[in-house]
Amino acid sequence: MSEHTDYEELAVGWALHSLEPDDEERFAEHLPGCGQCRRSVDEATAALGRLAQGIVDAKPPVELRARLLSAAAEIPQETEREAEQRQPGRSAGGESWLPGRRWLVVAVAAIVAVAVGMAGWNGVLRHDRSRQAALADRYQQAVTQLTRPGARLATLQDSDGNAVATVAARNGKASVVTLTLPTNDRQRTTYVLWGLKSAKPTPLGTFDVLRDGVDVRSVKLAAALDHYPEFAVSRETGRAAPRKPSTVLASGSVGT
Amino acid sequence: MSQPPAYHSEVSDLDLTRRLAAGDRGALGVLYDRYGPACYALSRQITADDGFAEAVVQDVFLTLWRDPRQFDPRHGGLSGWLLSATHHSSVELLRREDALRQRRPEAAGPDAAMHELPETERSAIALAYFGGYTQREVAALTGTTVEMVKARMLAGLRRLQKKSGS
Repeated sequence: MSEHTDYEELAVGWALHSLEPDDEERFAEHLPGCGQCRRSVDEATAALGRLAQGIVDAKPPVELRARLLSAAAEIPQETEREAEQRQPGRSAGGESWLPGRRWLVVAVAAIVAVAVGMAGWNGVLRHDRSRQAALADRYQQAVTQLTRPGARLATLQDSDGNAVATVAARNGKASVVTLTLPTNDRQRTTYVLWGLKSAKPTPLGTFDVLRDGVDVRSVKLAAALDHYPEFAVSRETGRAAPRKPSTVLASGSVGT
Repeated sequence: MSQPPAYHSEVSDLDLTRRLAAGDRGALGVLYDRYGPACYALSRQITADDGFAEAVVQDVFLTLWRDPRQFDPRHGGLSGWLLSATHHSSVELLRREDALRQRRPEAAGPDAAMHELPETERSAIALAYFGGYTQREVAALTGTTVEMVKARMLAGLRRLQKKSGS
């Protein structure tokens, strides 16, 4: 088999999003400089698109259109400069598709997983429109936080590797999109956001969790957070951040 | 008072993406009307979950809204781009949520052209495209090697392209 037949196979696997990580990395390096593989990817993508268009047995709910347009009204479009600053990454239709978005998919997936787990999109709430609307609104707010241009995201995981929250830092402000953090007693306890850069965690600010499941909480910042590559959260007795965390509940790096 | 732009079925996707780049949400609505249902149906087929499919479709269209320049018409049509993006996001979700796979119906392609493929090629493509499986997983599921799966996918895609005249 010629070397280029090998790449032709990778081109098809790339279009199918089915490559193993090592093959994906190899092809990602090869694709930008190979016109033949570029055409192969484009042709395979078009053929697969025709397959997809043959699926007719599922229709989106009518309210999805309104939700989409409402969300778009909240999300500013990227300037050319902001777009250029994004890291290049995996492409569905080409090498520029979804630049640096893998982390965003992870964060949104975590929100969706919690939303599904706590509410049952196919279950009880389908018959409880007011609660469903409230949940959808919280979910939308969370996604809006995560999709703001220039936001630095860190998905925080507990010791078992479960995503419990996502920190979104932007323009000197921070929000925490809660997933499974339990509510705290606002009279006696507080959550603390920590910046991790060296061995000593730095308390950055406090926030409360007022309801179970997906929610967006602003962090009352007491320190600048822009240069921390990693964040963590703890829950503390009292309403002020201590000098060091009692127990770190979850942590995660920016951009993962 | 200026009137919002009127859209007609003959307005091209390219024109709509240009209007999108100018911040015209009406263009986003028209593009959703054109391709949202197909994207939803694809994601629903892959994830077998209404909520996931809705989230994926919203995410894909908002990605286009945030930066319409991500769609490069030199590499194909907008429908292919949107469906590929939908597929990618759906597969990413699926791979995080193994429970979805456990209750996902047997992967099968609904397209007639798929059913004209040899069984080995059809199953390799269907498991990857509609099932979200990686090539190594497809090999394990079909009792063959990764190399054979790659060859079957390439041969199958070429047959599909030939049938559609591309």
